[in-house]
Amino acid sequence: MFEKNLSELDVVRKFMALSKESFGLDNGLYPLGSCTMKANPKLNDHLANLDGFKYVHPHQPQDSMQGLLELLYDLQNCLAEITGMDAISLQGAAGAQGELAGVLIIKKYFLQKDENRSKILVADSAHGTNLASAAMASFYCDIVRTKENGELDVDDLIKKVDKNTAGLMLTNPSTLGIFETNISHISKILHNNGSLLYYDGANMNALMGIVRPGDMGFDIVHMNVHKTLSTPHGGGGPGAGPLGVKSFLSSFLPVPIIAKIGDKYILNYNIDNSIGKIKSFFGHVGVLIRAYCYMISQGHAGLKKSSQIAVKNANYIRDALKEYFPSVYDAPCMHECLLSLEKLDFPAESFAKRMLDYGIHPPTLVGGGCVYYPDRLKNAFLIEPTESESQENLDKFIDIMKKIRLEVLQDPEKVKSSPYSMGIKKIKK
Amino acid sequence: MQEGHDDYQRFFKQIPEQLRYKEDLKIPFFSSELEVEKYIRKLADKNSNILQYKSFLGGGFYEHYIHPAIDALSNRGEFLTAYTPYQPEISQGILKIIYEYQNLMCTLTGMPASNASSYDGATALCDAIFMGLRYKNSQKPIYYSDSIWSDYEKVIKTHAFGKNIFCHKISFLNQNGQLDLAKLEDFFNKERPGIFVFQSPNRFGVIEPVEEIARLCQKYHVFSVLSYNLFLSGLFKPPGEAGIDVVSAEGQVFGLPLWAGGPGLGVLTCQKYLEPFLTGRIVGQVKTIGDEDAFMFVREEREQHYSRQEATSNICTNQTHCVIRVCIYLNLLGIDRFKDISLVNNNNAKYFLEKILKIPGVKKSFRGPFFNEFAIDLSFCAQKFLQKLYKQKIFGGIDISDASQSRLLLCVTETKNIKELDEIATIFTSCAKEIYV
Repeated sequence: MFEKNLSELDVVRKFMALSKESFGLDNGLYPLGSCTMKANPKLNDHLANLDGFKYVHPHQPQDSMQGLLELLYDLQNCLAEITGMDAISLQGAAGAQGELAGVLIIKKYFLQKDENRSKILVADSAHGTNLASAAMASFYCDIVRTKENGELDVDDLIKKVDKNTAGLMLTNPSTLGIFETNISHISKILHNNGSLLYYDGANMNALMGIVRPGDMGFDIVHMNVHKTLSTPHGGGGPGAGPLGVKSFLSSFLPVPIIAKIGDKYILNYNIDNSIGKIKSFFGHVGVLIRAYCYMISQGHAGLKKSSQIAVKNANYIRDALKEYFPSVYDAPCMHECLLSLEKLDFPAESFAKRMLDYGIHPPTLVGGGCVYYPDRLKNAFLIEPTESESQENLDKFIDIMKKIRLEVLQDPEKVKSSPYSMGIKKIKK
Repeated sequence: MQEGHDDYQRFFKQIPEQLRYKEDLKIPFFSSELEVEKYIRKLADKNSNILQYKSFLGGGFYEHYIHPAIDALSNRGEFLTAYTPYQPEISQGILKIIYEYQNLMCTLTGMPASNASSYDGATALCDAIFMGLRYKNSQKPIYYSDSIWSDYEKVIKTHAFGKNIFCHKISFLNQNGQLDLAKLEDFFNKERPGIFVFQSPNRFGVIEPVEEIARLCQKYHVFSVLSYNLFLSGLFKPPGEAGIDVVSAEGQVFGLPLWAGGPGLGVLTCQKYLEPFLTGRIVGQVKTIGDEDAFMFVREEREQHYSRQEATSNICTNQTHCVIRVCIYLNLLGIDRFKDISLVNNNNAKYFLEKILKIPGVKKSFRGPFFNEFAIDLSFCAQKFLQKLYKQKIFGGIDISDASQSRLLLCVTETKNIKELDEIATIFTSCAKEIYV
């Protein structure tokens, strides 16, 4: 294909056609649990693309990029605020890279204390990246069970915490959409053992301005700006995964950190115990600018309201569908609800394919995509509408779920062979 | 209905009271989109940029012309606001683009296999090294040349710390600024390393003898990892054809804005026998129940959402939007214009170097061949020189001086025409005269 010399018009038509075979949040409903597909404000894209940011070379003298460094410094402060942490590094290229930096900090922390701890605990519902990140830091993982109510089994945690435990990686609310009400107790268990508590920030959209990870006892936090802070997913990145820590860990952060000395902003590479650089240059600047624009457009009230509405919308869907798609857990859900298809006794994957014919993206399939669940949850949807969807759109989604349910009852084989309107049929397994 | 704070309380009642944040987050707030724009524009205007300044900065991120069609097409909502294509039936467009990107990277590096992106050139290089570790599954040491970017060296160290491995540095550059082949062979023969990592062009802009190094690696059963500038394939045989095992590269050169260094795009390609060890997402061709051809992520058993702790890497969100931009860029160029641009880069760099070599006190640092980046030794202070050039609205290069030698690294791309280079050379001359006495 590189051999062809296409005209500009040929290229434009080619990619316009390819865009018609793609589907973004801008096209329709996208209630992907754990992904937080909230609106990507065009203003933020526009501002990130200003010449004064887009055409800055990373090797320019720092004096010649003071406006950019000021923005990134302020972003660090905003992220510290929202997470309740003391120090922030913006270096993570994605949530998983933030996680990697976090586990490397845990590793170096214990090395410096001359403590040999090789185990990281994770919940059985943990995102796959948690375990993979721990492995990249040469930890092995022990799994902590989830109870019937959807919360972490604290008794199981107590059994598994020992002198070899470096830390626990947790998200709250969990990947099941449930708030860990025992988090203070969990935090005490870990800290009494001299272990650290790591927060996977994937689900922060439920908590902005309501609860801060730092106040829950977490020592290290990463955020996914392409989830909580509205930067576009891009079809699979780029995102960014800034990392926050409590002050006793601030000297371990990946460099550079943006610092302010008098009136000047600098890239500070001289952090005593830093784990070092995790990527080239100083972070996904083009993405981080959008995150900052989002935060200052919302302010404290807007961010809090966003979380409140996100949680309200998930509960609305949960209530509206409870007769046909009961919630897996009795506990109140937060920004996402986990609904079972067991009553319908129909594979979620096939149900999801039929949703494509109705012009919406299906929710997260349990066991599919990025989200992993224990075996008993293999047939469920994790639905996260976000605060961006109107009442009308929520009702539209509910309506589609009910319609497809009726189709399944009338002609399950037809639904199993969907989709029909995508240009291609269902892909063979 | 007016919604007050209490209307939401019932959704958060399970949260213990003592955990709730009672204050207001201290986040700056601008009351309208217009006010946000005014403020952010003020910040943007405080920065100098390479549209205002003539730039000779390279060092891993490069100024190449970005056709407006790239923004227009890649920023379409169907691409920009889509999630990772886990529902392939609704995402064939993005999957086809990723598949084409993989093929383009294979063509440019002379390899049969490519991933769908790593984060950037530095992390792609780490991925490449770890591929070698998994493939060789031996305790033999890993060596890298000290002529890779210093940023890349630091990133390797951080990742190696995670894996409890140590990567050893070697220093074998000859007067050409290239790896000394005789010394390298002697080293391979004595030390029998497991993996050897090098970069071309290296951090002095010098093109390494890739074919010869690949031959030596094969002769001594050393796993070869090359960090590469993809534009070199417009002028030379791609490294895969020369027998290099894995190639990593920074894809920013193909239509990604500078954005002060990120996001970039990590390119990772490899020989056929290394495919099972390839890190990151891969798009492959599959069939539908109607026997149609289609595309989806394949071989996901390598990845974190399947294999969790056993995964080859933890990468999830990668750089798809950048992949789309790169694909559009290469489509706009086509093979002929790609070769042309490579040539223009090289010609412009040679032309400008010749001009500034006429300045007293300026010498070429190394005799070896270069692409679009080269180092010059100065008999005056590099920093003072750069400051003078900066006053003339020129970013004159990167100061790579060491304790014994004042030295600059300059990059010249297709973005400057001959007339501009002549004018700038005159300014270089007058600035140098002010210092060189």
